[in-house]
Amino acid sequence: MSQASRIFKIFAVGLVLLFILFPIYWLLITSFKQRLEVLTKVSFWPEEPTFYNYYRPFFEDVYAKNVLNSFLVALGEVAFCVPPALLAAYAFSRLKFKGDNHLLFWLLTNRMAPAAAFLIPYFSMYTFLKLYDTLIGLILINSIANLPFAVWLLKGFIDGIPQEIEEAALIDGYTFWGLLRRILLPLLTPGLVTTSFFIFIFAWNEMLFASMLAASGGAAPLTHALLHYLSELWVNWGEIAAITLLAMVPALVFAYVIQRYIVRGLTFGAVR
Amino acid sequence: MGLLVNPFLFLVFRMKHINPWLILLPALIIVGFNSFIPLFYCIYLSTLRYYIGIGEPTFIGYDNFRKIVFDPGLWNSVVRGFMFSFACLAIEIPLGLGVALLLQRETRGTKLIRTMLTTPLLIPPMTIGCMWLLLVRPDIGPLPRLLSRIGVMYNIGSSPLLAFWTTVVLDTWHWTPFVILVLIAGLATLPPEPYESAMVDGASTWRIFRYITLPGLKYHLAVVILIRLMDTLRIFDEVWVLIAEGPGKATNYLSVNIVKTALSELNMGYGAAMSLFFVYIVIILSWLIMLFLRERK
Amino acid sequence: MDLSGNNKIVVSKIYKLKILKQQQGIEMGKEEVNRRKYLQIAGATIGGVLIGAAAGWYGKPREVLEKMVTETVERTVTKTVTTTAPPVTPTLTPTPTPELIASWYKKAAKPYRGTTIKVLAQGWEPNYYLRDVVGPKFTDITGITIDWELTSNELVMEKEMLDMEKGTGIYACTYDDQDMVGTWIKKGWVYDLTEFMGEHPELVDPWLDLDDIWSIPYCSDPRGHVLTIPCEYYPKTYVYRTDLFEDPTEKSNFKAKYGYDLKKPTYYDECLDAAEFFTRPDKDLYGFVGGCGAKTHEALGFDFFESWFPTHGAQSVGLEPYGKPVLPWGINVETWGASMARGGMLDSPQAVKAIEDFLTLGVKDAPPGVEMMIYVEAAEQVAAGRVAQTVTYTQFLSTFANPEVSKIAGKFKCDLPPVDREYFKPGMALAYADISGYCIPLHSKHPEAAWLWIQFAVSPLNELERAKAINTTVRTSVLMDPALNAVDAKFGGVFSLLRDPEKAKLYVGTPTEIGEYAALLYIYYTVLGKAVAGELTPEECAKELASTIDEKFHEWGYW
Repeated sequence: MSQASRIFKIFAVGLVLLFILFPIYWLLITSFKQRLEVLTKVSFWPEEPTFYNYYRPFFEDVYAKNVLNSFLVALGEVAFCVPPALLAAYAFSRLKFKGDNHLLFWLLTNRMAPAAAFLIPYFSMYTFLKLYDTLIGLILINSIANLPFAVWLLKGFIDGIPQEIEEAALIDGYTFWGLLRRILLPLLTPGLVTTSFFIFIFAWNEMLFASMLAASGGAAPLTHALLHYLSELWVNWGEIAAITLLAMVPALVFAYVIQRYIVRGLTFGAVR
Repeated sequence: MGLLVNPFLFLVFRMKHINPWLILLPALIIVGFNSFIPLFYCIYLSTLRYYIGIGEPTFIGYDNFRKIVFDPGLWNSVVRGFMFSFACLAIEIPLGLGVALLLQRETRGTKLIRTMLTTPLLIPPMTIGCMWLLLVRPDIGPLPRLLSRIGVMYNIGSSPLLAFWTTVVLDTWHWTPFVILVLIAGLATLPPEPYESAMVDGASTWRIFRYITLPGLKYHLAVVILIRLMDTLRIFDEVWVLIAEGPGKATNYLSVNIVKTALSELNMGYGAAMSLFFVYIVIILSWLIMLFLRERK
Repeated sequence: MDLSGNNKIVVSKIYKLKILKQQQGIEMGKEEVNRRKYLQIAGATIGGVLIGAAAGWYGKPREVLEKMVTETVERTVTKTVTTTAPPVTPTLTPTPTPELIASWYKKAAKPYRGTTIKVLAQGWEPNYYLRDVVGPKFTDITGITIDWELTSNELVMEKEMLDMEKGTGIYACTYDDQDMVGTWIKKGWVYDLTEFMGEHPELVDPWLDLDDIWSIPYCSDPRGHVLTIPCEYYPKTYVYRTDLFEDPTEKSNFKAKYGYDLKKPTYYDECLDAAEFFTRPDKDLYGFVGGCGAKTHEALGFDFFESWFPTHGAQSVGLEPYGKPVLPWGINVETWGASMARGGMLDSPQAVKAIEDFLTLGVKDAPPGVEMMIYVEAAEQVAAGRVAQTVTYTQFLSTFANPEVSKIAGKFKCDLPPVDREYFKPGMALAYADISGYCIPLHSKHPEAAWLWIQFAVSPLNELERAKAINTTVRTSVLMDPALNAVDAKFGGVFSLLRDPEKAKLYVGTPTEIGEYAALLYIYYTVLGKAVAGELTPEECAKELASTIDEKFHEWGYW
């Protein structure tokens, strides 16, 4: 590659990185600024850095519980959604039955429906079932969007596994569950990891349902705590920034660790 | 035991007839529970004239839907929503494609860069709105300061145009990494042979791109366009936190409109009707796109 | 849109045809139609519709229990108590010792030890204090745990109304603005506390002394029965920077430019001059910020009917406790009209002037970005030292006075808001008093435990400390207590303001005739938001506001 195009390439990538990372940088320095400084100055580096924004929400206030809630809901969501999704994806992918296309389509439209539209019915339903402000309730309601997505992703992966393997297994005398456990599961590991990652992220980031169906002291996850910050007195940008950055950490770690799976996983079964 | 011995029987009984619905059942129950009941409750609500806290809900049949046909505010929202979608797609897809092309080779640097690029995807949408609020507020944000030095008055509270484009930039910031990742994955699946022969033939970069890369990426591009289109039509959290409706209702996209009607105006009946209308649009659109996809495949 | 008979049919036909055509278009692209499949789907849909309708029917809001007020639409409010101001010579109730009060509570709460009550409240200063200081004390003494849900004002209103309407009984008690009392009167969703006290004499704190709480009449229904117990009283008033207004250089510059002395403005024209004088963008100083910013948000509505319309005289004269028949909101409660043609004052010259003044003071002379701010951010601007004058909620005073988060600690003072020279008549209500209190929803699961908490929150045990910390109290005895003199200056003299009976009675709460607070609020702020955005001139805005409200009253059956 010529020198000029290499320079151009570096310059272009650099520009995009600057665009993407500048707000994160701003978030970072805001999290170290003191309250008054955020409100009165626009400084590109904190003048009196402090760790208080990280300390207070978790040690003096109750947000540690919210972090725990977020974790529990996200992990619970993964455990709750992935197994049924796996089974359903297998059915859609391998088995031909009446109305399979339509059923799949209906399943996917659930993901596309806007959450805001059904807020009030959900509120009524879940309070009626006494699932208001419970972790189970939150997991259940997140699954309407996550389960179809998981089915879709997993179907793509299963499509990518050649059918000969299964036919050979059947001839060898595996039952369906044996087939699943011994053959499909190992082959599907990148797919499962990718799907789990996305579901974890979606559940971690979910806000609208969390604020409507949970109270701040009870089962509310981290995102609700953030919303709560926004609507209260003295929007404390420093603390919001701190909490956001901390909320990002597990996701980042997760992403870095399974990066190669994600890239492989997003090929939607088109790999040879 | 006999089933194991006779594979044909096994195939017929276990795989073809009983299993599909049995193994679909858990997924169907969960999604159906969350999907049908609110849907029908919504349909019921949309036949009422019902304001929370005022009077009793009264049955008015499909009057709410007639109102939809004639409500300029609603059509305004729909139009703006589509404008927003197209603006976002027009920017995100080419930009994402460009960056994906630049980052497709997995050298040491690109791996780190790719991880850094995924950070916007990991932030909750509401926080993104919050973050951009911090950046664009005229009193404490750096952007207005920087822009005023080059003479641009940047105040999204008073300029509908600026408000609209700020939301577009926001969405681009949030989701271009997603486009990049998907397209990198897509590029990774392209076989190297056509490239090699093209190089041997001396084809220019542009021709290589147009006749080899682009067709090869068709499926991935289609998927990414579909996902982004659906998601931009549904956008809510970021816009709500940033400026809700915006000056002159500039950012009054359909989701924002529905929530405002239902929560601020407390007009449940009409809000439910609008939600149904929204779902209807989404379903029609996705049906069309799915058909298109299936055909192509 | 109003369609005549025939057109309706045509329109609905066209619409149905449109749907059909679209469906047909899709059908063309599908595979060949499988009749049985569609019959199955149709059958499932009908079954689902029946199930859903049944579910919806069950979830239908319960019939309103007309337990409280028998009259339906007429709102002839006859208040028996004539004033909300503290009496001139207060009688200090004998203060019992803290131990005595605590032991009473301990005994009374014995049957309820160990219960957990859910409390819904707005997330700001007063409730943080209750949650962090008073709440734990309560739990220590009585053993009743409180599960706090603090959220934004909008969500509080929304959630509590939903909860009460559906009868789900999620919250044991809710803490909300006195604005909602009118709604409680009309809908009957909360306990009549006077009757409750009659039924449970053993749960009534002997030192509750409702007479000592001067804002009780605002929280009662027309018969005098108490619906909510007020827990705070914050006048929304004018706050200005003493360091700017009393600085000699500023004073001489002002006199040179405008010809009269710089002082705390009594009239709006003086306020406008001062705002113009102090607007110095290059020094990051601005003349004024509206108490509610200028965002098209409910805060804008608050600001207008709490401050701008009353001070511009869009009301009747009267302080018993506020003007009638035209309320400070500009609405006539006898004819239920908002436009002048129907007896209201919302399209009068007063209202137009109010909107014009707001556009100058609250938008032009305000810090940039004010269109994105509500009361919280507006107060931030004040605390950051960017603004010379404001009319704001005094809940923020404790934060203004805190040097760690505010640059104006010790440099501000409270006083009566300015009025319009031409239209404001003496004897009119001047400003708003933000009274908030606790109510117990009818479907509350622990009304007795909640009642104990409510009394504890306003018990003399805690009042004095609370007044010193967050500059509010509801008891006359505590207000007059000399111990508050020390902190008065810190809070800009707000206690002196309230202790003066002539000034105190100028602050009025939300009229309890307003039964549809939330819906009216929506109209106010959406229409006024258009004026802020420049889509309507002030005259057009006032006209549209008045006519929309008139239509709504007609729709709700008031006339």
